[in-house]
Amino acid sequence: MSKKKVSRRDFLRKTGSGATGTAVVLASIQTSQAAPAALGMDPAVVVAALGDVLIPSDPGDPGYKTLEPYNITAEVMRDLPVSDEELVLLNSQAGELFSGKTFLQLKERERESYFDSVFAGDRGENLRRILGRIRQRVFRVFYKNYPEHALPRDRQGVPILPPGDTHQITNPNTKGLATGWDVSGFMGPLTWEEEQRRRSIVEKIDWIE
Amino acid sequence: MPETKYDVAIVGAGFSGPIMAAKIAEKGVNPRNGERLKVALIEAGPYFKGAPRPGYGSPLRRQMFTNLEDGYAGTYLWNNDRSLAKIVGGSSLHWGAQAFLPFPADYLHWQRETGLDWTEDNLRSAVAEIRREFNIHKYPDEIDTRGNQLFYDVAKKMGHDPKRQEGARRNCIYCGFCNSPMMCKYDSRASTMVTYIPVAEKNGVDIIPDTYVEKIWIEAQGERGIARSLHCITGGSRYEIEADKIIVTGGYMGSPLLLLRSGYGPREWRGNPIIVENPNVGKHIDGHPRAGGGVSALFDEPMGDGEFGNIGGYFMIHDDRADGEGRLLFRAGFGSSRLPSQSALNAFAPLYGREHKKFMREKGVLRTGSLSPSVSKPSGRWTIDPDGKLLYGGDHSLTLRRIKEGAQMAREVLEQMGASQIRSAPIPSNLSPRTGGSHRVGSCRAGVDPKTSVVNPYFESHDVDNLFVCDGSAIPRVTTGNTGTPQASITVFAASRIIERHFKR
Repeated sequence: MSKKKVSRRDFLRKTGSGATGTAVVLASIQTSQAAPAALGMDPAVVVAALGDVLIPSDPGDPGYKTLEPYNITAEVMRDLPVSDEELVLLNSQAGELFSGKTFLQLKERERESYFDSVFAGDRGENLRRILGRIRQRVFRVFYKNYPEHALPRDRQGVPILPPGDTHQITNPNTKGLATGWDVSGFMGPLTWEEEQRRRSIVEKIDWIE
Repeated sequence: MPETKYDVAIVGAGFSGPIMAAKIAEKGVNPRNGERLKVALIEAGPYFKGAPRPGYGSPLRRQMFTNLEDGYAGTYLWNNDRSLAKIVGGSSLHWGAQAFLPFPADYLHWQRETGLDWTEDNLRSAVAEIRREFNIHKYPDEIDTRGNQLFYDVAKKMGHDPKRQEGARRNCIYCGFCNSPMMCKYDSRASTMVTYIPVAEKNGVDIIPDTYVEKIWIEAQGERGIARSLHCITGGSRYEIEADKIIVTGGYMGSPLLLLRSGYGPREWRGNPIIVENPNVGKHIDGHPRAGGGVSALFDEPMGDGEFGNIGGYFMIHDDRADGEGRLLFRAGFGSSRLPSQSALNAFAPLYGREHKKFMREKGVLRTGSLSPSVSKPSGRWTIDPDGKLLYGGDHSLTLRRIKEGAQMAREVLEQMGASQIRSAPIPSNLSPRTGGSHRVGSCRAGVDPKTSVVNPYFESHDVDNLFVCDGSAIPRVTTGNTGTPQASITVFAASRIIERHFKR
């Protein structure tokens, strides 16, 4: 399911709604990336499931899965310093702890137990390193405010500002979508009003005209 | 295409080039006729022009410097190296603007390393100029955090000598984005863009952006050479710029690589045939190696309110030898906000799940801080290998011993501050050739002996007439702190020496 096929209204309605949300996520990934036969699984599905444990979504509390209709997993995988084979390994090694089940077959609590075990180093340094790299990439993408982390630019690379902008305000975050900045209460690049508020403070302590 | 004949062509408009261009154009004259000099300042990256207005910023730069993590800032880097900026203003546009003007030991180390007369007395007026132009002053108490003040009190009681950090800023509104490092949207961070570029333009310097200098044409004259012209590429067009004097200010990597491409360097360098030999080009690179040892702490209460970004802090210095070798520099910062993408990976952030989200939502990063030692006078050196890569070598025993001592000292301070958890970054058992670093200098170092240096104390090439190098690559030893303001001071000093010897009637 592409971004175009999910309206923002539909998307927000489905956000954090348990099984429905999961269905949206997996459908999105499975149609965008065919499972490589050689691996016996789709690495993107594993990344999506890992992302959901790293930044869970709950009703009223959006997380990683909330952004699947915006292809967050594709963005994570674009620069993921982990190979498909390593993802397969991370998925299959859960079987040692859970009677042969893969990570994808685990329930939420079991997935968390697996994370605890891997991060504690109980499953070996290699798995800990793999999961650590995935964690780093997922957090970076989510909390850099994907998918509202960039402004469109013209051919010369100059950011295209919203119509009517008079102060070159370059914050692409919207109120319509809950992103990493919203989750963490970060306002992003300053508004003109916030700039002015700060200037009015600094003018009294450290200002040279 | 720009005019092709200049009295002076300066290659690289980063930290040093604009200072050199402004000073020479303002104060120098053609010694033959007393006329104003025709000066070109050439830069591989773009020029985002605009009248500086510190605290507000100019429209084009406000638009270009978005403070977004969209990857676009990489466009202005050489080889994706965060320390190598390709833009008019160079790394002065994205440095941390933490000002560490030279300390007494730094002057002594320059003298001891290569016999330079770069003494505190000789550089006094240059340092004073940079202090004035870059508006270097202590960060105001009003933006200090509770954690920083606690650190100061505790460290003082323990017998240390903590000092408030000085910044190079004017009308900073402390948004905190600059430590990301992002370029300053408000023209507040002291950069050559807002200080010396306007002076250069006022004095008629031709700023030539988006132009790559492929090589310097060096005409062989026996074992020596004469620099004649620059082979340039702008928008795919190749052309030549002739100049009576060529000043290289391309930075610690750009400068030696240009000389090497031009056939000036060690005999063993492969690629272009060597026209003039000097074994020191691309060697002796000093800097602050990444040797681990950073110590961070978690507190039960917020150490700051996050209001004024991640600016300021304190530092302290520790020596265990009279000559300053193995010197430790500690940087202290507590209760400062960070970008969410940085906070999420904080050493004390829970590893995953709802606890991690809670840490993010409740701004757990404000309960953390760090006291990070670095060995600011290390024992190793980098060299540039024939593939243009840096290799770190030497005996690292002093560096490793000192970083371990520093980590222990930091831990003791943090314990006294009442930290509930303390974590130390691992210290390697040895430093490898691939060890990274920052604040690197010395790749075309200045010195009195041509056998051990590339330029003389007057920044003139030992071996090639009409050729000068004066940027970080000429500095023979790294300074105690960040090298930005020492390098700027040395460039002012270099300009006065070059004018005195070459551009005075």
